[in-house]
Amino acid sequence: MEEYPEELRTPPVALACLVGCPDFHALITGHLHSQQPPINTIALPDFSKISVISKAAKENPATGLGKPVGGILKRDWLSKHRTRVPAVVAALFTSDHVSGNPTQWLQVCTDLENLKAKIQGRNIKMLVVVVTQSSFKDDTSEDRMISLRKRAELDSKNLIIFVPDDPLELKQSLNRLGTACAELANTYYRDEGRRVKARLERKNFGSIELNIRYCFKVAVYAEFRRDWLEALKMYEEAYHALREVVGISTRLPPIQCLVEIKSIAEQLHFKMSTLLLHGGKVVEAITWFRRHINYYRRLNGAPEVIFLHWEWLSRQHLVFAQLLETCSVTVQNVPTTITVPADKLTEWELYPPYYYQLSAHYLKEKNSCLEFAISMSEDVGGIYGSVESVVASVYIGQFARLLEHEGTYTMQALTDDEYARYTLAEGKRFQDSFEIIALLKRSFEAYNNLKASRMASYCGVQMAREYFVMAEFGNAKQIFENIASLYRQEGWLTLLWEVLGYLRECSRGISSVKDFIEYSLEMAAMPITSNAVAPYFRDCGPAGPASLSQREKIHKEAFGVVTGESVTALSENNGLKVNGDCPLYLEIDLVSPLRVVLLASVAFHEQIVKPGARTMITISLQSQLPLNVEIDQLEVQFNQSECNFIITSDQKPHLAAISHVHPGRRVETAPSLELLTNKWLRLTYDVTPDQSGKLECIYVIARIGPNFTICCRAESPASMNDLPLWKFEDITETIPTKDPGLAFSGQKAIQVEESEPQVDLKLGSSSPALVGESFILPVTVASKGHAIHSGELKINLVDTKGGGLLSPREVEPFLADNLHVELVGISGQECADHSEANFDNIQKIQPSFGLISVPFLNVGDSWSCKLKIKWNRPKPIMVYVSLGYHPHSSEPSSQKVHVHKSLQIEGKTAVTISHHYMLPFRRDSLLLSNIKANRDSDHTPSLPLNETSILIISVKNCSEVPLRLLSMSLEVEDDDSCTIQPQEEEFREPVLHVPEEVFRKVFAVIPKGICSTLKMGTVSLKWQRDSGIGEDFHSCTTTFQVTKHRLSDVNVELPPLVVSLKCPPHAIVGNPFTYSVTIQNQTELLQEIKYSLADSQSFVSSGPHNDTTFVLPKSEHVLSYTLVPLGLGSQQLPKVTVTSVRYNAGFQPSTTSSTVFIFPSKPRFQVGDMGETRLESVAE
Amino acid sequence: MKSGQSLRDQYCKFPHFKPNYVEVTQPRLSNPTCFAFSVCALQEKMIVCVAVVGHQNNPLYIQSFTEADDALKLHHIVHCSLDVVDERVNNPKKSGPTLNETFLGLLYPTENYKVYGYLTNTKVKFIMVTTDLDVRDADVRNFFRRFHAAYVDAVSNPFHVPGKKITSRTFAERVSTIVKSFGLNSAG
Repeated sequence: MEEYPEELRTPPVALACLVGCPDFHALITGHLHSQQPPINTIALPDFSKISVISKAAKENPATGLGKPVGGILKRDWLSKHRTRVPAVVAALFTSDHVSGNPTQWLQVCTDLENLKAKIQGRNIKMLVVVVTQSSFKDDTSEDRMISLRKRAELDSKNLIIFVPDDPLELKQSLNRLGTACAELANTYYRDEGRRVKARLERKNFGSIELNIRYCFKVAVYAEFRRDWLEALKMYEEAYHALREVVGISTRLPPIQCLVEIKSIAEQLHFKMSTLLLHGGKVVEAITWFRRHINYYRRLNGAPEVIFLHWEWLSRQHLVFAQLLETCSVTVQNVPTTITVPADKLTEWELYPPYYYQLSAHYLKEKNSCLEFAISMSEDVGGIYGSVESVVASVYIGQFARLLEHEGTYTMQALTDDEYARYTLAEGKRFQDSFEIIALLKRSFEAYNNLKASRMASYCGVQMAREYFVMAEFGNAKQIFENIASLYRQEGWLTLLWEVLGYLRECSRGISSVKDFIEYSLEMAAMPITSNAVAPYFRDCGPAGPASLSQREKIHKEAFGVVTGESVTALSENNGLKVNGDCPLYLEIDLVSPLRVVLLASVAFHEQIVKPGARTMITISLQSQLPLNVEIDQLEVQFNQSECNFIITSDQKPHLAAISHVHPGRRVETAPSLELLTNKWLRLTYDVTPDQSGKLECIYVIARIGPNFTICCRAESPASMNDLPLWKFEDITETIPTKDPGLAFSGQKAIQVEESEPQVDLKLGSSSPALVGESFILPVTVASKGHAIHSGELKINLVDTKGGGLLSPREVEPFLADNLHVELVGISGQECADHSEANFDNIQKIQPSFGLISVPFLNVGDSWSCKLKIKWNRPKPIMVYVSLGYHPHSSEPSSQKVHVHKSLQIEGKTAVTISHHYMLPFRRDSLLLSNIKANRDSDHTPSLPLNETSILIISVKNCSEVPLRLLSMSLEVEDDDSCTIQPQEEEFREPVLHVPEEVFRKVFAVIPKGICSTLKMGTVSLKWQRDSGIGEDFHSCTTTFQVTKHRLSDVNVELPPLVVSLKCPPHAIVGNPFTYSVTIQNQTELLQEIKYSLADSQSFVSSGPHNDTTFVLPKSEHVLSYTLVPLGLGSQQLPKVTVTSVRYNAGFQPSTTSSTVFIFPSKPRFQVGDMGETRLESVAE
Repeated sequence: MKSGQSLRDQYCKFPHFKPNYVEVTQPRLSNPTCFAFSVCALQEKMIVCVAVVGHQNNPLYIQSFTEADDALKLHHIVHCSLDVVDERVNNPKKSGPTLNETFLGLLYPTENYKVYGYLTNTKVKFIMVTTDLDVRDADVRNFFRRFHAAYVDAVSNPFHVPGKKITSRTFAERVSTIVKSFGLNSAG
């Protein structure tokens, strides 16, 4: 855009001319220029200079109709109107002269006439300014003023009184002057436009060239008036008219004709684009541009000067890109809001880089065509003699030879041949490479900003190629490197091949042997397997076409360099050599593109190994290089350097290569270390790790020749990534190890265990713990083969179910008694050893965690401590005890050995206590609540008031160990309401209570008052473990545990009726005995009682059989029967059923209470005195 | 410069020469008027390159059908067009009504080519480069439909590993047929 003349690039500004009174010119010029729109001025100091604006002598177009037109547009027409032909002339006169003496007046008149004569031909508008001082403002003669106006043929508004010495007046005068100027200028341009347009409308032009010219002029005049729409319309018309000239005009020789047409088209299109873009019509502008290019692209002209065509195209794109860029600030948002019609505009066409890129492309095209044309013309013959003195002619896009003949210059038309030579000579003077690079760089950056990385890469490639051509290898290399990574990532082989080919040559150019080898190897290992050279892959960079044979060639060349065997002449020149002074060391990591060159997969055959034990390791190497590679030596490096070893080939014992390796390394030999293409080289050796921890293979280092080393980071087969580039190829995949399992799971690291501990850790007890007691767990540390230095014992209590109740973190918010299980204490037994000073007594105890330090123990010594653990609830837990110690010394650097032991301990409830109530034998009270509560079973037991009830407490041993029960007591809460016998019983000797046994104790209870919820109190049982088993529990014997059981509340009520049976405990067959049923009425009411007796076969009975009777209040009724037993043994008495009508409750004695034993004869008991008397008393 | 013929011979040897730009049947250079329109008369309207591009924007199949030595450039053009595909896929707002449309339309015009794109439901991209600057949309759609069918058949081969390059010779032949018939259709 910069090469366009200024008048074309900027919008036209109206031009005014000031004549006379030069003192005020600066003032007026400044004012006019600052107006909106501005007006430029030509300042002429006096009237003698007015000839500069006069019209040059020129044939009238009407008379020249018959003559052919020289060209389409005159080169200087626009600039003439911008700088030399004013639209309005302001003639300045002082009031002194106007109203002065006649001579002065005459002078004024003459000047005015002259001026009028000069401007008449051009229709330039005029205005007259009379400069006067404010004090003499009214002195000016009115007559003279009128006469002046008449002479000048002006409206009164165009005669301006200019008062410079009063600020207010000055401002007014200037404003008036400005307005008048703008108005007149507008009129002038409108008139001129109309005049030319009239000619167009009348078709009053001799040739199509004039048509174009007139359209252009009208458009320019419209632009002067800021009538952009009109201007655009006329430019478009001119542009269309121009197309008609194409192929028709014979005015010039064909080459020059086309050049002229294109120049005009360029200019017209530039104007249109500018107008459209500044008007915010981006899409229209782009559409126009596309049309413009599509049309003129085909007009490429004669082959000799085709470079002109490319240059022209390039310029079109460049200029449009620049326009788009300058306008994009204001119209940035327009493209996104426009919905692009399907075919019409694509994304990139809205952005300048697209055009920059194409511009560069065409410029490059031009360059190559120019070079070719120059070489051609040199063949043909010299071109220089005839091209001197060729200059641009008066018409745009035309050139002519300037001939000097006796001081005068004449233009002579050129022939096409001469013109071609001239352009060639001109073309030779310019170096386009920098320009191409600059264009591409802009495009590259802009595309990057648009996040179009691939577009940017393509620009980058072109840019770097250009640098390469210019032998700026550093720049080229840098750009290519960035691009190569994108192509690698996306697997575009042909593109990558080209870029790498350039990179290789760049490395050669800057003598970087490492880069050269890296790029060569990468290229050689690329997945290009076809050998057919595509015939059309000719423009493919310095590496040649991508093919297998080319890969092989590159491979050979690279290895020739690294082994120093075949130093080619070329590489020697560039210092590409590898020798003892400059060895080559390549490193291949997990993301390196060179993984395809050498891939090292390392797998241990095991996952865990003991220190000192041997384990197998398989090293698998793979290369995608096209030719076989012989490795002289392989070194395998581990993180534990003592495991490192070296593998040498059997065939080639390279002692020289080994010499620089750490002496004392293990050296293995392999039958062959030759890498075949895409074949795994598998080597299996054994390794013996000594240190515990992780043993990891880090590097596999291959040495080829004395000076070339490839250091390859080891990879685990289990987590190996696909090979870059090759992963897209449709090839069979191979696994690095023979064993497929290892190929999928093998790791390059192995866990080396700790050395075997030679210390016994014993956890003593296996018996279950009982809730409530402090359970003692003895821990014994006994050294068998290791001395124990700075040992530490850690104890953890863990819930076996994984519940969190024992984790130290959660313990804190709880109170201690909320814990189910807690570690209460650790009692250490001091070692008998003398070195107690070393034993700094660390002891930390938390409810579930304990730490205690173990004193130094020599080999054979032992030490023990006791853990005291208390269960608050029954719960199984795991006790983890781990001992960590240094076997050799207490230095922290040496390795610690750990011994772990765990023990599951059940915490169990020792005893369970239950209770129930019974009524006394053969005496039943009618308890009304029992009758009612029959329906729902869940009721509090009821006890009759003032009757003796029996409370039975059962104690069951739930544990697995025998217990001793020491005492049982009942603590009554309310002494008055009931009597319990006995209150407390201390057993005379502890009762041995074996597992699963139930121990019962009977208490008599007599409630003393009616109460619906009588609190019965708590049973306390004192017990301890049976100490007879072992002395381990000696601490237990001194203490006892108390288990408490709260008795449930009871309901005490007055029974209305009490039925008691009386009968002897035994009878003798045939002997009658009395059986009586006593019904006691305890109420104040008369009770109606029904009773009946069921007959029994075993007895003969006498007495009331069945009847209804009444029992008086507070009295009793006795039913008495005499029975004679007939059968023997245990016999059921005849069943008496008693029914209370009032309570609708019946009584039937239970089977046990109505059973009697019948002896055949009177029994003789051989028992002690007491028993006998007792029995007899009962019998009688 | 003795004659146009000898000049042309020398042009053809020059690597940057583009035969489809300079008219082969151009008459004598001395004829002043006919050069301007003689250029595009024989410019072949045909597909010069087709490509199948995978998920990682890696080429699965790329084939150029051109006699000129610009296969590499066509690869570049196909690669660049992926930017446009990305742009269209990531900003579907612009394409508005063409939601769920596999045919992406014209991706971008470049020097002498037009690049069209197509995105399958499995996000495999088809790219086509043509020298026909006035191609009809329907033709391109039709081409892509047939191309897609060929692709589906090729990857349905049980021996084809998804994500790997398509090496099937049948596929190549079929694509070649489709490409040739495209030229015929648009001519007719």
